[in-house]
Amino acid sequence: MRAMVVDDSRAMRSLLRQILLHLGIDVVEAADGRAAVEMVEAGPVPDLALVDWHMPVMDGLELVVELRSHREWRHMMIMMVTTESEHENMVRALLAGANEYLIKPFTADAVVEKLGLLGLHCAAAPSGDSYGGGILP
Amino acid sequence: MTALVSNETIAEITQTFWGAYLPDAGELTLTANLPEIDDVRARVDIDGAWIGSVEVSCSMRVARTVASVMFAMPPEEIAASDVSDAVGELVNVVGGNIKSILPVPTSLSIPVLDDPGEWRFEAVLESEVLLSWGGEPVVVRVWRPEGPSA
Amino acid sequence: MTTATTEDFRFLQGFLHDRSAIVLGEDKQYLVESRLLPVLQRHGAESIADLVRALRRGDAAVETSVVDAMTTNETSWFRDAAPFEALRTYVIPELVASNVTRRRLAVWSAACSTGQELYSVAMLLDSEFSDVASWHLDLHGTDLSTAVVERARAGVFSPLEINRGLPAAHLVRYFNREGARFVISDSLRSRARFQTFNLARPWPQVQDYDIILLRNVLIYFDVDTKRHVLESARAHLRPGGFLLLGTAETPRGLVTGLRPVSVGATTVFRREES
Repeated sequence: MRAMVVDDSRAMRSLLRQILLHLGIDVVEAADGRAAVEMVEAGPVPDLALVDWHMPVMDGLELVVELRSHREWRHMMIMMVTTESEHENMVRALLAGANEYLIKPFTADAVVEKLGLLGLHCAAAPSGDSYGGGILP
Repeated sequence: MTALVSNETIAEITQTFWGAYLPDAGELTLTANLPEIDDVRARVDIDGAWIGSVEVSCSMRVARTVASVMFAMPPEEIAASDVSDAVGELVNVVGGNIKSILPVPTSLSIPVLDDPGEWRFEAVLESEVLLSWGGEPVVVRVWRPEGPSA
Repeated sequence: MTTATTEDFRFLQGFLHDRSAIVLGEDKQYLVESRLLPVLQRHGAESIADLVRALRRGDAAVETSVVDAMTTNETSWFRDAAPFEALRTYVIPELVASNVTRRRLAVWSAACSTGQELYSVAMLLDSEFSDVASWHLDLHGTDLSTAVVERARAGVFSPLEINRGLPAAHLVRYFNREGARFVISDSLRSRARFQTFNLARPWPQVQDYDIILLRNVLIYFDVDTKRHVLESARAHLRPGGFLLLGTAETPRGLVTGLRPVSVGATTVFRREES
């Protein structure tokens, strides 16, 4: 599986890359929506796009609209990964064609569960306990 | 006038960032006084139904720790640009979560890094929340334009 | 000193077994220490030994904090996916058909934690089974911990909790923003009731449930407690009702009258007609 992480923060891209690599998912990165579109055009088309909202050049909502305007890319799952959690904006992103929504900050467990909701199966699960694990013992 | 976003909420948002991304780095606790160390500063501007800025400043040691976790690199290998980028994401998350509580609609800027000089308005401090990470300061400030506000 | 001596650890094992029937393994000393650290701070105790002394004195506030800290479970929405698929594709359709004249459905989340499991069932019923909306619905959640029951009742969740397995479509439909937190809609909250209940103790008079969710609880009990809990659960199920256990749990060899039914990736247990 191949994921594209689109975020203007290198730190956030790095954090997501670590989580995804740990799950056995290949990762490519883009720093804004325009760069992401060019990356998908150049191919191969990723199975999953993780998209920040507030970015320079082309923001995340514009990117979702752009990606969904190409029928040949429609199998690509899109998950917003953003601090933007105004109710109206979450609805806008979902209506534009985002499949899921993850609010920053998030834990690795939350990423795994969201991928499960998208029907994407991961090679390995992260060791949960460091993120506040289960019941004792 | 009273602040729309309480200090407790600002602290909770900042602590949530710590809990999610730095679960093993020790707790960030609310505190009353701390040494003034503003080694690293970053802010985001909020525009629309509410106008103002959210600024995070912290000591270099805190900034390096955040960067080292996010970049998965030892602190000594962290470059200055990594530090700015990581603190930029910290202020983006804190500012973005504060924005989601404010009256709608508003828009959030890209983080402004290492540039405390250039402000859109004469800023008045509305809230200041002091947090301590093992005695090192993390300060979140909310600034509003001077005079009758929008 | 926040490390526990062997003697303190033994006391904590006994205390926890007495209070919650949970069997604390020998290898859990480190986890006990990390779970009790916030309790130390809250009660101004300097060490685990201080805390143990307070427990020996019978300090009720410390007792509650310790039980809460040791049993509170970070949970997610639609946890483990497969049981909720089984509810959606088989269990609820079966019950909708069999209860169509009674127009009643009762669901019990028997280790409800902060309410995510029961509210997930409520969202599933509301979004996929509109017929049931006008029925008499009893959505009941219980947990050992007072603190989590209060949180479940309030229905207020942090963004971190909201991120855990909640489909975005449900988030925008069933939750409202309140400050930095999300509150479940009144329409769902008003249909759910939550109470404190210790599964290991004698159960009150028999009630009729169509579905009992008893997931990831039995694994912490000894055999006698498991048998007591399973027998009680069967007695509280209507004939034809369903018991859902955790992935690693089975009633086999402990209780009769529950027939395994394989549904997709999971197994549910149906009470036989008596």
